[in-house]
Amino acid sequence: MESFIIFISISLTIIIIIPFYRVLKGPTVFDRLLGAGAIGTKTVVLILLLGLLFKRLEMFIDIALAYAILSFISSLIVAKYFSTEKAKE
Amino acid sequence: MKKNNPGNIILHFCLMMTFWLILSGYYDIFHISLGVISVITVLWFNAKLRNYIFYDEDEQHKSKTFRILRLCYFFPFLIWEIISSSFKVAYLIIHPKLPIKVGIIKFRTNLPNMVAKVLLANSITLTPGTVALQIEGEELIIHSLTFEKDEAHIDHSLTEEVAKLYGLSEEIVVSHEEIISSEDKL
Amino acid sequence: MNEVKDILTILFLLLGSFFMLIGSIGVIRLPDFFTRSHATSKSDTLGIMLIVVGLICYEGLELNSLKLMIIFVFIALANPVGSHALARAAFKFGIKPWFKKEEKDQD
Repeated sequence: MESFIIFISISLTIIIIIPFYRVLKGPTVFDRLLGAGAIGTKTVVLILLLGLLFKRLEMFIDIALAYAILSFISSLIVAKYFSTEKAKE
Repeated sequence: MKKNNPGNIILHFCLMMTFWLILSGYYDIFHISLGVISVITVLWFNAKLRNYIFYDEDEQHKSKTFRILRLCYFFPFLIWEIISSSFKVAYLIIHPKLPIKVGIIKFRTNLPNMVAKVLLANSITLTPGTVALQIEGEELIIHSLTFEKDEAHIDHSLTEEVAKLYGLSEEIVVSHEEIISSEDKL
Repeated sequence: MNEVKDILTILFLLLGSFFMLIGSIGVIRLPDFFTRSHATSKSDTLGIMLIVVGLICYEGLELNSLKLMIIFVFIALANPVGSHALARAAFKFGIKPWFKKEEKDQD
């Protein structure tokens, strides 16, 4: 079971690398933001799996929850910022 | 509309207290009293925020009641829609030719209040091939991924489900449909 | 009983990571911003939900599964709201959606 969780964690790490292409090469700002958001949501799961591996899930769940809330709020604020930026012009 | 009535405050207190109890995991007197103190502090901080009006609401629609029992049907329906939509999007992404047909759909609804519209937009984002782009007043703009050219009407079963949550099944909910399928019509 | 639990966990974790892989590929492959937001809002949400359900199966009935349920509900609410906010900002910013070229020729 443990080796299976390690396998899933490694494959998730590889999956997380893929949207980096979009973050680096996105034609617009929003593409970069989208890539960053995709990385954030996947990292939550990676933190949970690490908690299982270290056998301290109760601590890592709190960290994952805080991380999810932070990434959600940051994406909301950045979206708000860019929608007001246009209105000023 | 007064939001600071005691029933509302007690409800919020109980909600935040259960949240504290689930997250803390210690059930002795010391930790529970710490939780009570922090919940009261948060309620005190948010006292001004509760009287703030975030959106205008029509007077005539305030009386519409929310049918809680209907949620028991709505959530499994929504979860089924999420699963089927993910399979659809997965098929579209894996397919080597990317068979997507983009279309933008505008329509108006007469859903009773803002909460219903938010619920609708949120569920539209999770269901087959559609992302809600904008809600302004009664008008919704939706970006669709799999849009058939000859299709005159869009599937509005989700809108009807949200309307049924408020007991509006007989009235017409959707009107003024408009489909944009190419660049020059935008 | 333990084996059934393990098999359910493995199944859910594999399915969830499959959907996450689909979401990542979609972010790379699809042609413009709005179509990419379809990939992140749907496939990623289902992927995270499946993995969290798998972890709940692994944990069994404990306090940890209640906390995991909170994460489940939060992600089910927050992920579509976040992608909707980004799409709305892009739409207001004036980004033109991508349309298929053949259709334009026919019109």
